[in-house]
This record gives sequence, structure tokens and C-alpha cells, in this order.
Amino acid sequence: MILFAAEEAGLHYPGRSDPVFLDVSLTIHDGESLRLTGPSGTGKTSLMRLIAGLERPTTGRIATLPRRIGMAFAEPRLLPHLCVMENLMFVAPRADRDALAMLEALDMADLRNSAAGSLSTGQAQRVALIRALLVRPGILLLDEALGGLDLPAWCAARDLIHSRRREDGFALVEISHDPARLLVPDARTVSLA
Amino acid sequence: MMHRLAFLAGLAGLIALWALAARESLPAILPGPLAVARALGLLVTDREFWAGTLLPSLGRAAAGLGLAFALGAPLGLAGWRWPAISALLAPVRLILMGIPAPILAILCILWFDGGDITVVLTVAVLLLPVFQIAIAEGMAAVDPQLAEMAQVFRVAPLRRLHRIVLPAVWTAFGPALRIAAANALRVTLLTELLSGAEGLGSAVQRAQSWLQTDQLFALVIVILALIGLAEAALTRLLRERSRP
Repeated sequence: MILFAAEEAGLHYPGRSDPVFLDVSLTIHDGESLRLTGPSGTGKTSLMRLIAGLERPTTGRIATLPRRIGMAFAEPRLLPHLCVMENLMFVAPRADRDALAMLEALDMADLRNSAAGSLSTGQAQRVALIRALLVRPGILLLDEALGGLDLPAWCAARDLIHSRRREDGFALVEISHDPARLLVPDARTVSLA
Repeated sequence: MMHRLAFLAGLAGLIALWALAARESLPAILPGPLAVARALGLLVTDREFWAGTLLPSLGRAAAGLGLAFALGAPLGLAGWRWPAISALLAPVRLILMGIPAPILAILCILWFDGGDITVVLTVAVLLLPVFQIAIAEGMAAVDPQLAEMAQVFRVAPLRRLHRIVLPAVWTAFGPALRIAAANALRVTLLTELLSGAEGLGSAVQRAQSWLQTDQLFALVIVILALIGLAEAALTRLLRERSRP
């Protein structure tokens, strides 16, 4: 099943002289793994935002948009005045057991009642990852979402993603600048230049 | 504790100075603290004062405040969403914010019936820009990254409103409400005083006309207490809402 399809899509932000990208045709299927690569400023994040439905192409067209999206942004984007569990319940109000199980898997259950504003960057990134997985996404979008984690924490996050993927079978789109830390090393690569 | 003691000492000093000055003056010019306390006691135990003076004034102030919010909030939202509307409304807003309250009250008395409607409209017109600006500023304070996150996860609109929009709006709206509530009482009194509409303002005018200065002072104490109570309640609400 096709989750996302763009036909010759281009994106040009107002006030910028050059388009971010032009004539990108991309199809993402159910369960597929994809890696967006390219130098800084070539539009990887913008393409991911297009997939998430946060941007509309200025040229070309989007034929299909994914329905259930889990996304972990480069910034955790947690609600700072809410605790960890409240942040997770914000996107999936009935998934408290699932949320707690994932917090335990990442050795963070003790932090469930801590204010999100008090978390370290690495902790906040892992909570944001759990939030993205909690909605049982059809497609998981990770924009440098695990960049601040040390190796043990990154391995635990990777294992959690893979175990959830075995259950839910979601497609995975990843942006990572570290070739040693790829969730799916043999994923299809889309290079933007 | 230290602050409270200092406050009480300041208050005691003020009352002592007042008592000394009152001994050198006529009661009609400056009544003493005891005479004012007696007048205050009579005032607050008089049912007619509550039903015929205090409640009508509070009702008008609340109605004016409510009307100002009902008109100002949608205009603030529209101005935030479409900046051209904000620019369109700017001249009226500048006039309303610059015009002295007594002038506006006199104009409203000339144009309307001089009763309830005049008072409510005067309060509403003067406070409308406060709410318009507060809502527009509050909406501008909504974190766009959090709003995007909620959009991606398709969070229900009511939950977005509760968790993202209202806390941001409250940062501007809360302080505005505190100022507006106290000003609603002040403008109500002023308009009643000028128009003669039955209420606290006209009671002040009567006390002044008949040289019942002890009653005039007692009314001033009631007015100060009302404004103080409104500000204290809203300050507490603000503190509770800003707590994580």
C-alpha cells in the first residue's frame, strides 16, 4: 500500500531566492525504510515536513499523504508545564499502559511524573520518541531525533523502535548525520543535493 | 512576616496621622478615624446599601467587563489572524486608549439614557481595547512548534485549546483581566458619579453634596476594599495558573 506519493514536487519558501528542492518524485510504501541524506540546507527536513503534511509543495503535487503519523522532531517539542505521562497522554489519551511499558523499556519509568521542562535533552528526546511510537503510526518520521543520546541510550531506543516495528509494521523515514548510528543501515536512500 | 508587620506599622502610622489632623479640623472637612469607622459600620449593616447601591454598581461593572470581553476577544482573534484587520481597527483603538475616562463617560451620558446602559457601555468601550490587545498578544505567544506537533499527531481541538492555546493566551490575558477588573469598578463609579445613576458613584456624590464626609470616607474604604479584593483574587488565580 502506498503511504506517501509526491510527483515532481518543489518547495520554495517565500522570501528566499532559491527553491529548497525541485522536481522530487517519491513514493513510500507500507513497512518500507528510507533514509534522507544530503549536505546541510538541501531540504531533508523540508522534505520530511512535506511527508508529514506540514508543508505544501509550491510546484508539483502530493498524490497521497500518510494517515497516522508518528514524528520525532530535531527538538523534542514537549509541553514543558506537563509531566512526562501527561505529555504522552496528550497524543494518545488511552495508551497509559503502553506508555509506561515503553518508559520502562528505556529505563525511564521513574521520570513519569517529572515535569518535561526539567528533563535533560537526551531524556526529552526519548520521551518524544515514545510519543511518536505511542500513536501506533503507519509511518515513523525521525528528524535527527536521537542525535543527543549516548550509545547505550541510543541502542535501547533502536531496540524499542525495532520491537514496535515488528508489532505495528510501520514505515520508517530517518534523517541522521551519523553513518554509524543508522536504525536500518540498508534502508533505501534518498539523496538531496 | 516582616513585610506584613511593616505594612501594618505603615497603616497604623497613617491612621495616627489622620487622627491628629482630624483633631485640628472640622468633622465636615476631615472626620476622624472613629467617626469613619462608625459610618462604615452603619453602611455595611444597612441592607438597602447592599441591595440598592453596592450590587447595582457591581452588576454594571461585571456587565461592562463581560461586554468588553465579548467584543474585544473576537476582534483580538481576528486581528491576530488577519493583521489587516488589526491595522483597520488601530485608529479606533488609539482613540479609545487615549481618551480620558471622564470625557468618554460624559459623551456616553449625552448619547444614551444616563442609566444602566450608559454605565455598562462606558466600561465596555474603555476596556474593549485591553481585551483586544491581550487576546492578540496571547495568540501570538502560542508556540508554533508545539502547535505543529499537535497538528502532526492530530490531537483533538479541545485538547489543543486546553494544553497549548489557553496557557499561552493566559500569559497576556491574565494580567489584562486584573487591570480590567479594577478599572471596570473605577469607571463604573466615575460614570455613576457623573450621570447620577443609582449606585456607589451617586452615593459618593450625595455624601459630598450633604457634607456627610464620614460617610464619604466610609464609601471610599468600601471602594478600595472592592478593588483590593478583585485584584487579590485575580493575582491568586494568576499565580495558580502559572504554577507548573
